[in-house]
Amino acid sequence: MSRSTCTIRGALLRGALIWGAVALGLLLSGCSPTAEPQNTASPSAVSTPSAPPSSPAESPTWVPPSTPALSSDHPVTINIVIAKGKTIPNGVKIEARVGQKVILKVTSDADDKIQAHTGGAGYEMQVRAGTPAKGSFTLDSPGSFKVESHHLDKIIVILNAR
Amino acid sequence: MLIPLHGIASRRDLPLPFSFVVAGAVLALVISFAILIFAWRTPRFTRVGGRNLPRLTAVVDSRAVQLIARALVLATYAWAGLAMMAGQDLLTNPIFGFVFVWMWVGLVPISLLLGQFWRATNPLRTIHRGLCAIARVDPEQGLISLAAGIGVWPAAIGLFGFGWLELVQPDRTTLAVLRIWALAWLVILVLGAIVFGQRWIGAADPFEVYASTIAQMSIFRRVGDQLRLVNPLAGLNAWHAPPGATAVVAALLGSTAFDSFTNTSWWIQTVQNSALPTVLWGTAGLLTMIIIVFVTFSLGAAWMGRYGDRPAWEYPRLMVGSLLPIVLGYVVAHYATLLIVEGQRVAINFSDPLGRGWNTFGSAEMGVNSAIFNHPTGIAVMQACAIVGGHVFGIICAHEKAVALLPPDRAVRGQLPLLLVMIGYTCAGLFLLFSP
Repeated sequence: MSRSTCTIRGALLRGALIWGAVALGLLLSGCSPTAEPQNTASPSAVSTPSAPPSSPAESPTWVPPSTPALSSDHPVTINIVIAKGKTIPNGVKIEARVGQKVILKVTSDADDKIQAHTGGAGYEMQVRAGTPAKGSFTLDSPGSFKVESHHLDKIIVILNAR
Repeated sequence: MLIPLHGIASRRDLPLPFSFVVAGAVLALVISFAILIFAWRTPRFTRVGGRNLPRLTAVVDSRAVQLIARALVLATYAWAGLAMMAGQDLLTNPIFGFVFVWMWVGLVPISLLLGQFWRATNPLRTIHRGLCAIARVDPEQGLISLAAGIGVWPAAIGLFGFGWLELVQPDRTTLAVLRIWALAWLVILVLGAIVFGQRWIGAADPFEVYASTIAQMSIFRRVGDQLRLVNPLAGLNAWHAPPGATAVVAALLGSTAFDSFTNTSWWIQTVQNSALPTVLWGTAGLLTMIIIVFVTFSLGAAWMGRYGDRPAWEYPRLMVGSLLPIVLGYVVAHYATLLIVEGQRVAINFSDPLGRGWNTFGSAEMGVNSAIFNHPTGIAVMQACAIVGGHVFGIICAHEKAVALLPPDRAVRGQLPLLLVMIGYTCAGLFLLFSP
């Protein structure tokens, strides 16, 4: 191997290490705050998401689930408001436990079907316009499950059952 | 069973734990630079090598075996076609899983294990051959000869089309929609083959081009007229990518990334709050992802033109093979559980294509074994390993090509931008699986 190759290699090694360190630093500093609401097993994981800022001002804001979600002893309650073609919550991710009961409390300004795709047969509840409805199902196995408004073709929440 | 509004599976894999994302990204970075700095400086895979398999070649090339294989595959498609044309418009109709799971995902393991099996048994080729035999026409012969520069560009457009069908098309799990796409696929490919000769199918069928691209990483490779058992890395290194191969790979990587991207809260909330139609968002998003991959990879590879003795525009096609392991890693991480679990459901429903309670193949009574979902940590480990492993093999391939194409003292500098692009794909892939 020629000497020039060696010097180039040495220079590159230094450069590569510096770049590697910079990239690593950026990665760790830039990303770790995002991780906390997702991964820490605290009740705040459920109440963190708030109503989307761009939702219409007259719409009621989303009331976060009232009980700690990350324990399978307590059910997780999700208050759903469907109005003017929009859903609240709107595509929010919720951490849950396998074996946990999920209670849906729904108010809608139009007739709708709320579907939860929970792996097996799934869960479906009918909602009448203007009449509050309540339903529940249990998360039997791990996975990421969507709860959707069939009428609007929109995702209300995604339940991550671990 | 409830029909999910989007896609055919009612369950997705859990988000990758964030610690896996960080560990995977760090590992990818460290290994990449270690290979760049400490690995070999002279090409290692100058020959494909491997072991000739004369007996296997004789069996595979025998007329009887070819006829039987083609007939079996054609019969399978005909059976699926029966489900599509005469079956019930329910998700228990096996056609949806046949297209989106067996064909689209299943072609990957088939091509890895059996090499160019898809191309050899492609039902479109069988149909075209049959028509030519009736009309006493040579299948190779068309009315117009296809320009060599066309390469696989039509298939790249076809792959975008399939990605659009899979991820954007409203009501994609209804028979009415699927029939139109199937009809278009059949007519465009068979009519094209009549006009341009059989070569059109190898240029334009998205499934065959996807399969034969993946088959470049198979342990079986044809060298001359002999099948060989080869080191997949050496085999991939010997691949002469056709024009348009970069677009094909960008379409595959971009559409898989877009599939993950549509599952992020940001995307769901933005699209659902927007007054613009969802189809418009989906189309723009899918195109953007594919273009990002195409442009970043092309620029990263073209940089080698500064150090080598070829024009810059030639390098993306010479280097594109090194993206294939990354594509494979993405596909495994995204679709392995889908293939394993939903693939079983297709097998069960395949016994009863018309929904009349038939049990043609004796599979109708079987249950879906979804025990794999009870091991979310195992799935997460598998996903992270697939992405990082694909990345490492991709870097090895890129390094090998770079030292073969560039002068030794410039090989490292020349491949640095491409290396950074590939690290970017891997970190993005991991982050999208984290699904914020």
